[in-house]
Amino acid sequence: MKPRFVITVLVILALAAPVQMLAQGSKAEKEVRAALEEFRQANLKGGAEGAAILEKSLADDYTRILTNGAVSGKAQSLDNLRAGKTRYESFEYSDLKIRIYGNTAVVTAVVKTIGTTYGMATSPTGVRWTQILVKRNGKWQPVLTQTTRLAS
Amino acid sequence: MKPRFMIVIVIILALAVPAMMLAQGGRAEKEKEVRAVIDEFQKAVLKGGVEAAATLDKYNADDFTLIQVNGAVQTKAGKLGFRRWISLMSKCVSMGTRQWLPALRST
Repeated sequence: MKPRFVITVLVILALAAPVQMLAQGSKAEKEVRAALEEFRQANLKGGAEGAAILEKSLADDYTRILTNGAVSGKAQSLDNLRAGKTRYESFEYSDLKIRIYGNTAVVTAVVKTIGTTYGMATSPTGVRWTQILVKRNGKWQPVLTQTTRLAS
Repeated sequence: MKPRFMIVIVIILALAVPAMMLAQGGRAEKEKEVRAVIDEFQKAVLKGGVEAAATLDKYNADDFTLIQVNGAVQTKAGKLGFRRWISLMSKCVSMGTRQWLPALRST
C-alpha cells in the first residue's frame, strides 16, 4: 500500500470522526428540542388531551420539583393537568441551553407562563427551569423538571 | 411441547438471568459511585475555604452550572473568576500597595 494513500485515509478518518460526533450531537439536540416542544404543546393544550400526550412522553419515574420545593411524580402531574389545576394560556422558553451527555440531556431555560401550576398562579417574572431527559427506546423522555422562581 | 423447544427456553433463561443480575449490580455500583461524589461534595461545602474550592474544582465538570435560589445562574468559569480575584486580592495585601498595581496589570 502506498504511503500517500495511507496518509490520505488517515486524514479522512481523523476529519470524519469529529464531524460525525458533531452531527450526532446536533441530531440529539434536534430530537431534544422536539421533545421540549411536545412538552410545551401538551402543557398548553392541558386537560385530558394534554395529559394523554404527557402520559406517553414522560418517563414513568418522572419527578417534578415545584418552586416551593414540593416533589411530585408523573401521576400527580397528569392528575393536575386533567383536573385543570395546571393550566396555561401561554408557555414560552427563553435562554434555552441544551447539553447532551450520551443518552442524557440537561436543559436549562427561563420559562414564562401565564396560568396556574398545581392550583397556584404562575410567577409573572418566570422561573429558571431545569429538565433532564433520558433517551430510552429511541425516544427522549423527561425524567425530572425543577423550577426556581426568578427574583423580580 | 417439544424437548428441543424446552432446551432453547432453558438456555435463554439461564443466560438472561445472570445478565439481568449483572446489569442490576452495575446500576448499584454506579449509584454507589454517585453517592460517594455527593458525599465528597457535601463535605467540601461544609469545610469551606481554599481546600474545599479545590475539591469542588476537581469534582465539578467544566460546564458545571449552579442555579441559585433567586434563579440566577452561576457557571464554574464564573466561580473560577471569583477565585482568581480572591487570590489576587490576597497577593495584593501580602505585597503591599506599591507592588500590587503592576501585579494587577500583569494578571
